[in-house]
Amino acid sequence: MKKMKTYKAIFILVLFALGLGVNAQNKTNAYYTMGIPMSDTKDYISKTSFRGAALEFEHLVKDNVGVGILVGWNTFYESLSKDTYPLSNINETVNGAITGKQYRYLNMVPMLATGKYYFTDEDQPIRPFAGLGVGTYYIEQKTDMGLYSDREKSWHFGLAPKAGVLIPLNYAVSVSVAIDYNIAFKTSKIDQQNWLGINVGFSWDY
Amino acid sequence: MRNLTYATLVALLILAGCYPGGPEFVDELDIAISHYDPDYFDDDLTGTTFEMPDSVVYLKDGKENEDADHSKDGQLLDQIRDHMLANGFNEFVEAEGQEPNLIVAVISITSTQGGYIWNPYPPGYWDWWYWGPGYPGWGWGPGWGYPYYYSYKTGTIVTELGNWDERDEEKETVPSIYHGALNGLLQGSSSYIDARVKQGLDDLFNQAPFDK
Repeated sequence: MKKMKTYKAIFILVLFALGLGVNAQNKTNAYYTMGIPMSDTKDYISKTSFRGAALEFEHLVKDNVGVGILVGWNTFYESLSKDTYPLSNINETVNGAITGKQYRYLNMVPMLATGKYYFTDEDQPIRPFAGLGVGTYYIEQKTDMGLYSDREKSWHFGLAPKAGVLIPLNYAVSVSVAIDYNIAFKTSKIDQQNWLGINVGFSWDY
Repeated sequence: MRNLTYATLVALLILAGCYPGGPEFVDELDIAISHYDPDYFDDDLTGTTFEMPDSVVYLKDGKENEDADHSKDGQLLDQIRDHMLANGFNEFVEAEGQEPNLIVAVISITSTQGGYIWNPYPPGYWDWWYWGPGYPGWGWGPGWGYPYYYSYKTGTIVTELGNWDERDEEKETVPSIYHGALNGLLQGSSSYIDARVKQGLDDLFNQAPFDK
């Protein structure tokens, strides 16, 4: 009998925990991300990045308001045709030039605290949302020429306003499509970086 | 959650495989780099004479390679001579009491594990510009030190122009007014490397200060 009571207590606790989980409404959003370089980023690499991903863990503090953490990665790459560059670009006091092919890389790793507002309830067929990410971007800029490589790394403060839609497929899974404009502010080592992210992925509710 | 984990792992693996690769062919790593003294080249150099060396100096793994194959010396020196002439310099003809204005040194650096240092950022950049003790075997000749290099399998051909007019007879040194280097991986057939060297010299002599 005592054993039965224990089982009952555990059962009630589990139900309570599950109930809490349902009420808490967490989301995990996984995105494939493309990046269209803008501004200073475009000056350095003009090609769109098709290499990127982002993962976001989100907690709904209200039915229509989510806060979370996003970690992403985008690699921009461009190989430039063989050309001649004055050495004064590197050091004003140096006279000379270098000729060769140049390979440019930018690795962007946003780590942002996110906030989102969903404009419709979760039972709607389409759930538009808007939000903002604020945090830090780890950026690595690498220029390879010949056998030599110039690499700069730095942490940037940045933000990313975002807008998109959730298209629920069932009670727990939605397709998520969003665009965000990433602004990683200038540091002493690397200029400000801007790019438009196009994010396509899935959102899981649990 | 398990599906999510798998999906994330697969996505990461695919993305890691998509990381951009950079150069695909050896010649895409070839560079030509030059550095010069603007004060010298700003002057009118009409009638300036140069003297070519008899042979190329070979360095291997930081030491003079006395067993080097000199069969390509003539071809290399001829190409450099042609470029000098095309840029308006006159080859010095020995005559009583006459001296050339410039002397040319050509150094080939190879290393089974070496690469020529070019670090455009201080403090490394000026390493090659430091004059060292007189080059062994040159006797009265240019007093610059070897260009520095680091471990990698590369080849470098350095062309130096020394201002013979400004030589220091006491110290037996000659100031260098131009330094040009071709650098790349030492891979491929002999004819492939020859073609890359020729292209590199063309690139080098199209750079400043010759592109006036």
